[in-house]
Amino acid sequence: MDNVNVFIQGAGVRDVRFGNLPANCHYKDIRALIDEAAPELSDLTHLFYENKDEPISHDERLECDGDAVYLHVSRCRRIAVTVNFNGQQFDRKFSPAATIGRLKKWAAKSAGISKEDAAEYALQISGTDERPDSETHVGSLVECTTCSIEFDLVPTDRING
Amino acid sequence: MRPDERAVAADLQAAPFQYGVAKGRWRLQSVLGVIVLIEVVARDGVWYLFRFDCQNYPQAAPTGGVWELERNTVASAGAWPTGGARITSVFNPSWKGGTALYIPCDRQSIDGHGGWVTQYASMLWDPARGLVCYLELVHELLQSRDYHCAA
Repeated sequence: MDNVNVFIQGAGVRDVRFGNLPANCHYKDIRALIDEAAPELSDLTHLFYENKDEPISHDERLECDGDAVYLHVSRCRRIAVTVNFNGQQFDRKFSPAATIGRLKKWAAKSAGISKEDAAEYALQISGTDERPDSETHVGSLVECTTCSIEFDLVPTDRING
Repeated sequence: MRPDERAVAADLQAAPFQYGVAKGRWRLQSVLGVIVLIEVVARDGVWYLFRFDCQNYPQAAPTGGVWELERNTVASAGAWPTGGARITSVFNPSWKGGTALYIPCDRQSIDGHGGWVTQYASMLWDPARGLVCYLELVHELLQSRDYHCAA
C-alpha cells in the first residue's frame, strides 16, 4: 500500500506539521501521527479535511486524492469570522479547516468586489500587520479557548522605493 | 557544515517548505551550501527559477533573483516575470544586477529602506518562518492579476 504525506494544521499552532501514513489507514492511525507530529494538538476533539465542513468520524479511513492529505485539528466545531471592509462588517461561521483563500472569496463577494478585483485584496488579522497565506487554515489562527477571529479586507501593496 | 548551511538544509526538509511543494507552489532545484535554487510557479504554469543566497540564515534574510540554470548566471531581462506595477516593481532585473528582488524580505533590498519596516510590515523577513515567508510572497505575486501570462 502506498504511503501519503499528511500535513497537519491545528488550533493555535502556526507552523504546519507533517508525517507519513499508509493510504486508507484507520482514524486511530491518523490520531497516532498527530500525537507524534503535533503533540500539542493531541487533546483536541475535531479532525477535518481541508476546506471540509464536517469532522472526520472515528470509524472512517483516510481518504486520499493524490499523494498528500491536508488535515486540521481543532477544539472548535466552527470559527465565527468577522471581516471589516469600507465601514461594513460581514459575519459567517466557517469550519476551522477553511483556508484563508476560501474566506477571502466569501469576503470579497460579500463586499461586492468582483472576482478579478478580489486578487488585489488580502485578509489582515485586525489589530495586527499579519496577512496569513491563502493556504492557512483559519482555525490555526485562533487559540483553543476562542472560536472567533476578526479580519480587515485591505488592498495589497505595491512596493515603492 | 556551517550553522547557516545546516539551518537551510533543515528548513528545506521541514513541513512548511514541503507543504508548498505538495501544493505545487514551488520545487527545489538544488542546494549547495547556502546557495539554494528553487522554482516557483506562476498562474500561467510557467516556472521561474530563483537563486537564493542564504548566508547567515535564518538570522539574516536571503537575497535572491531570477536565475538561468543553463548559463549559471542571472537570467536575461526578457526571462524575468512581467506585468503591472506590482510585478515590475519587485521583479526588476536592473536592481542590484538582478541578484535581488525589490521586496522587504530580501536582505539586499531592505538595506536603505528603513521606512519599509512600518510601511510593509507584513512582508518583512521572519527568521522564525524562514525561507517559506519569502517564497509565499513570490508565489502570491506570480499568481496575481498583475502578472502577465506568457503568450
